Amino acid sequence: MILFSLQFILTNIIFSTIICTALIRLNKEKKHSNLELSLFCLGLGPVFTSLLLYYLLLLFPYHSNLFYLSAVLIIYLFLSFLGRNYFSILWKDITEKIKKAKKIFKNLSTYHQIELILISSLIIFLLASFLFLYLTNTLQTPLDGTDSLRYGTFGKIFFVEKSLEYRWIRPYPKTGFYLILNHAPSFSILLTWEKIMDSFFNADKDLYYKSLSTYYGLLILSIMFFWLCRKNKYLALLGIFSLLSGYAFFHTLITQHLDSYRIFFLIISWIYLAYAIDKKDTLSFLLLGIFSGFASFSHTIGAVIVIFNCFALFIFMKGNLKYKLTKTTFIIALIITCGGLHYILDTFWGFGWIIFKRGITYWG
Amino acid sequence: MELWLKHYLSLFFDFEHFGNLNWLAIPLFFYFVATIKKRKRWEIAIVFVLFLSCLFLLGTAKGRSNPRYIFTLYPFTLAVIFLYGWELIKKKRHSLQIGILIICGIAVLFNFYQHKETYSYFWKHRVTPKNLNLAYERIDFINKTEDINSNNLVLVCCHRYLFYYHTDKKGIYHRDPRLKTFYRQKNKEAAFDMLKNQLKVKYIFRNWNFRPTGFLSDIIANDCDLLIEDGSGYLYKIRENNNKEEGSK
Repeated sequence: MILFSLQFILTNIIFSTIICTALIRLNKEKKHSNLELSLFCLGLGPVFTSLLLYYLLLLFPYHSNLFYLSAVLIIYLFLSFLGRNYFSILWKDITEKIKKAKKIFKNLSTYHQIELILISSLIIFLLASFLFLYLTNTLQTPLDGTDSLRYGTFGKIFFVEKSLEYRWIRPYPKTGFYLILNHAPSFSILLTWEKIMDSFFNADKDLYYKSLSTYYGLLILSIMFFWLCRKNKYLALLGIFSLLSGYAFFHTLITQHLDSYRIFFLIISWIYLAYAIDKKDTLSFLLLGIFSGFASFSHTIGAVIVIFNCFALFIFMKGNLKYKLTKTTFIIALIITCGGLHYILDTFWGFGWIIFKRGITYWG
Repeated sequence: MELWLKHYLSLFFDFEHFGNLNWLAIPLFFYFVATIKKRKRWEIAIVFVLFLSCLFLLGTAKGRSNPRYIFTLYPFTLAVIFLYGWELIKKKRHSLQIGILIICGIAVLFNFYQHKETYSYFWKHRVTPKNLNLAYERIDFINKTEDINSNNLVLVCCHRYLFYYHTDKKGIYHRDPRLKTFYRQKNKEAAFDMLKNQLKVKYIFRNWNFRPTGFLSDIIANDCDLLIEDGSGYLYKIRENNNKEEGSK
């Protein structure tokens, strides 16, 4: 559990915060709330790490665990250097929001103070109880579930081979594992990342990989609560219970799956689609491209739906044809860079994705 | 009617998977279209993307049959319903707002109650796990046994990822193209010889919901010893000498 905590804090919190501070640089005009940005960025640490490892395994295969770990850490060090002045701005923003909240609370009537304490206590109690049960029980059970085992098997293969080539070679010669997978290996590579880190502690576990579904599920709940709370706190409570009343969502919190992971990026890409069309600032376009790219990097459904994002941006954005073409091309370039490249490689040199659907046996 | 509600419109009417408030998206959508001239561009863009995504996901057979696919739209659609719905009632009387929230709250509670058995089943099996149906014994045996290698494989029948993820041993999936010749053999002896001597299968790893057919069913019944039967399946070992050889002796 200590190693899991270390991996979780490093990848999900520290890396996400570094990315957030690098992005805050582009929010100088304060068109976006830094608090909202930091909430969305909590989902970026794992996927960006996965993307880095993807390119490292693709371009520099067959190196040691130390090479890949160092390369990822160096890139994050570089990003933290870019955002070095903005850690304090982010911290200042958060502390100011807390002070403002305390001030508002003091000015409330006793009835409203009690009401707020009860609602907060209820949420904290439910969340703490769930997390306690989850960490002590659910997370400790062996990995189960077809999809998570499938992606996990690829993650193991990438870790053993230090290459992505066995994504396209079947069967895998060492074990006979046989599968054609259409989706980009972003989720699998997160297990590879965990195993790379584990190798320095002589450990072999998959706690971090198993925790991803619940982590992104809780992030989706947080974002829904955050947005609805701006309107009305009871609406926010209703919203999260309503989301949980659909068994499909409850299921993602307690099973190991990539559904919440892929849906998270799509949701944020739609939020930034709205921002890009409305505000037309650089950060909105950048984040639309990045989150759309990660949505495609996580699953084929994301890869298809982000095409609709591009259409929507082109059709509904105000501006002349040249402006629209420039912005849409920028978004497409970001989507390709942030994960869409995999589908281009697969279509022309791999299994053909969902377009050609062929099965070749050997890489190249 | 059921086809439409459970498949084509499952996002809105599959109350077990997607709650019982998602259907509100339909009247809100029609109201949105009726007042489209007052809408901002970003609002139309979001509805446009959701509409196309819905058509894409429900338009494929896989999307209709697998709730996970249409689940992609569930959280965002629900959030849009609440946000847009609130915009419509925010200037109304406070009592009306409270009334609507209470009615929605009752509907949500009713949905929890209606499907409480599903929740309680998964709570029992995932959050406070009891009676886990995992292949602990089979996996443990395979990991410890030393005679699984390139010359002694495991035939993996169904739920292959369980085998390949939890062990590092060599297996052959029952739908691997190399098994085609096995399934096309003309008699059981030839099939058994192919399986044992050419494909070098020594163990058969089978999940409880896999129903072997044809020669494989015969081989499992007559030429294998059941080594382990655990919570989720069976592990067989092919006998060194088959029935025919023993009979002739």
